[in-house]
Amino acid sequence: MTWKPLGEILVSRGILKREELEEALRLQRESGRLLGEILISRGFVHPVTLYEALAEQGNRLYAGRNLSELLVSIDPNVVSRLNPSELLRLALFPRRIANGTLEVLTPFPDNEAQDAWLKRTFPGVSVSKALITPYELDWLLHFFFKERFLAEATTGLFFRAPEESAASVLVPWQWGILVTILFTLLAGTFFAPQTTLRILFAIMNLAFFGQVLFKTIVGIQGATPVASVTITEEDLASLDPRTLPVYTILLPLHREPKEVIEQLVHSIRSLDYPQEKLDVLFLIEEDDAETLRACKEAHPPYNVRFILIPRGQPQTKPRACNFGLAFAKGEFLTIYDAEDIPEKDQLKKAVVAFSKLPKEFVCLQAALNFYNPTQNILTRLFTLEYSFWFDYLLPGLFHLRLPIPLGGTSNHFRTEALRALGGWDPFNVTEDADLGMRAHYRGFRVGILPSTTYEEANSHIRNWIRQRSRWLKGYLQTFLVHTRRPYYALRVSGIRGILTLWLFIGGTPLGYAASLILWGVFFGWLVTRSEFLRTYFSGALLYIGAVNLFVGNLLGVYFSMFAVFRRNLDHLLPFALVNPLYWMLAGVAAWKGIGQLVSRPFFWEKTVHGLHKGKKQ
Amino acid sequence: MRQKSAPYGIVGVAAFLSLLGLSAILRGENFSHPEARFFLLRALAVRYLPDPAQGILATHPSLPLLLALAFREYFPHIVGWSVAFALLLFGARRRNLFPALLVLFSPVYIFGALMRPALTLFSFFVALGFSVMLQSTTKNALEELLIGNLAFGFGTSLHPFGLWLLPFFALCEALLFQVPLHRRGTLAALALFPSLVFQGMSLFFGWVYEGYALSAFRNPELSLEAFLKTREMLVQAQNGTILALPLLCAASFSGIAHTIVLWGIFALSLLAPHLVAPFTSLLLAFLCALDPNPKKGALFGLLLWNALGWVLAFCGFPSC
Repeated sequence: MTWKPLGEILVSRGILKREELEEALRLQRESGRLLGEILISRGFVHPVTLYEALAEQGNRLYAGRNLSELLVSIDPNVVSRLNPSELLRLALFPRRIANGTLEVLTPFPDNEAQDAWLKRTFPGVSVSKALITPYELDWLLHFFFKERFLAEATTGLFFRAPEESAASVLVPWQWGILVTILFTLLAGTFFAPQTTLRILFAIMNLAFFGQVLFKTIVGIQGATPVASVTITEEDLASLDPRTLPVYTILLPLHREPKEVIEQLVHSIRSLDYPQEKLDVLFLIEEDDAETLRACKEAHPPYNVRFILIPRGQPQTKPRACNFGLAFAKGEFLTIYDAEDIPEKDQLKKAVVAFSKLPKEFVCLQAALNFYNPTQNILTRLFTLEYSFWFDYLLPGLFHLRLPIPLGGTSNHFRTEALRALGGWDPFNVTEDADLGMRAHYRGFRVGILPSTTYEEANSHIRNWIRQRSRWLKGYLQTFLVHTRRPYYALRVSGIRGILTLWLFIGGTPLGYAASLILWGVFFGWLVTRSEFLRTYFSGALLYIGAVNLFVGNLLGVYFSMFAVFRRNLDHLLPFALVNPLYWMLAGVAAWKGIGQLVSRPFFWEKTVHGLHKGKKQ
Repeated sequence: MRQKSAPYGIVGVAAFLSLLGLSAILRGENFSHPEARFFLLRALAVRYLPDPAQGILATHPSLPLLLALAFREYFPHIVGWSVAFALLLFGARRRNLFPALLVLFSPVYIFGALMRPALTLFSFFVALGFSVMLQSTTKNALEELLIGNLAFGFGTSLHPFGLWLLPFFALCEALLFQVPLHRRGTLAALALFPSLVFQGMSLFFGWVYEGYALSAFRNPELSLEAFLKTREMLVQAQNGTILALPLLCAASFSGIAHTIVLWGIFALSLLAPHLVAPFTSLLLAFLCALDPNPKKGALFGLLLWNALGWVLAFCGFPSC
């Protein structure tokens, strides 16, 4: 039988048009990828058809025609003793040993690393290879190793480094301190109520003042226009598509509306990155049939793989991400939310940035902003806040070499470093912030990527409070986790790192919660001018309170004004004056978060997406 | 390493020497100038109030009073030393201490810091605000404006003359940047905002504690401006005008924007001579000293200003 090129086989069978083949060959020359991958990713050929043709070309067996038969033929004893991560990395799956020959299933049979590993793992056994598609390989791994992946995703970090896991909210000594504080407060309120309240107020005001000072210093640093890395147009233009690395995109999806999925698929197609080098994973909870259906109906490109996350607790985004991480093939990896629209060249920028930065930079955080800022007053205020957070605070933290709590999405990682860090903590509901802190404490750095991802700003108050209470609860979890080893934290991050942890991570939720009380007492006194409350507005307390009231609010408002001004969103400027009301709302969310930390620490308050659809922008 | 730390060593030594110099010169001063007298008298009154904090917040400007309450008669020294240190630090970071030293070792600065501490502090922050704005104009980079606006806003809360300068600052910011027309209004609003909040603080506490929002501005017991209007003598205005001339001429070497700003400040100071005319030159000198790339002409102007200051000092300036 004469050997024929793959393209010719497909053309002669009438599966592929001549012009489609020519386009694919052109793309192959440009990107250096396998022709088959290009044909699949462009949707020219169905994977099964392609592998049938490959089997014919290479005179091999294609084993994926009947999946139930294939499943029955696999010997679990051969499979179970192997490491699934290695199988995934090498893209192979051992089927059985029959007559002294190991039968191996693989989408890429001509692979030297694969052969070497097989020789090492099965010494003296001859090997025969049959073909399966990459999707079938995933499916087999998922079928046989689901429990192992799940255990790693859920409890991997907890068993390897329990002190870094939020699985237990408080460790014994933290319990001791908390109980002591509560007892002292109770006793103080009983025996000397006024003095106790004055001390409490003083502590709150001082902590608040510290936070104001910290944010001012960080914000002013963030105003200096020095990026962590400069990426020019020439840098992007000089990228050779053939040498671009495979990039994994994790997309945790849960109860997402159909329109959001359609928008997501469109965003993936729009990315300025060779589609053949994109490894997109839709992470869908097993019990979420509707999202799965919506995903199928959206007809995503073939570089999208569906990973079903098995049922289990805690049902959180980080657990899904950890599960997906096991299947990631890319050298780099990023996470987007379902409703995200990243700037088209963001992945290329990340590749350039990683190539310019030293290896200690394991993660780059892109800025987040919103595509529906003018939907209502809440989205306007949310935009003001995000602009300040991502354009001033995080760059400021970077300039000062302080730990950076990662934002929810658009964190770009070196995949191996992420694995070495232990992935995300599934028990932490702001797993991203926790991961940023953990990376810092382990001696790594997080950089700032000069690119923006546009998200949907929450436009409903209840939905906003749900989302915010989760964030603030998560910040508290992160704070409690990283204060467990104070000497270690001090040693690795110094006093500035500790200050960040206390004032920024712990200070954010506690500051919001405290501000609600302070505002309440202040307005109470202003209206009633009662003598009882007057004692809290005199002496040294009055100085700090006045500074907090005026300077604290001024800076908060002003930074957000400047942030939207920098983004050419001048029309949002007057709304910054309403910010104090927005912060009071955050205070409500903070109290809800604190309550939930006690009652349901790992509960994931789901944010509803797609609320802006149908609204005129 | 040695090279890097050298400027900081110079800063430390120079700051220490300037502190010693200030203290030595002022040992015999009795703070007879109305501005220093206002704060020291007010601090004395406030100390015996049932709640000094309320007395401070109801005074305009309140921060210098707080310093006066905390450091008593050493309050001008502390202000003088802090500004000197800040100025030297800026010079050291730019590896050019010469302009800073010219300012610090001039009688205008030394007597200014001791007799008009609030005005000195105010001049420094306002000069910083203008300086950052002018630098941002050169690069047409809006990012750092935030720092300049905050510095200016904070400065205006230190002395009543801030209110006179406020519209000029906003106008400069709106006009000097190359931005579309509709954004100029936003720029002006951004320039005004911090100052207005700081002024609002006085109005608010005036309303809360005195029952009348403007009490902190109109009552000579509570307001530096009202106090000075009744006490200040205008004879020094002439000296101030003469002293400012070398700096105004030097401004033309630093570009059109510098010239507009310096001449604008000078013109405004003539409108309120009881407040600032004698020491307008200090504000202008700070501006020259904070310029990251001073031209030779500007340095010469500063040198002339320093020399002229000493000449006038020997001729009796600036006693009241």
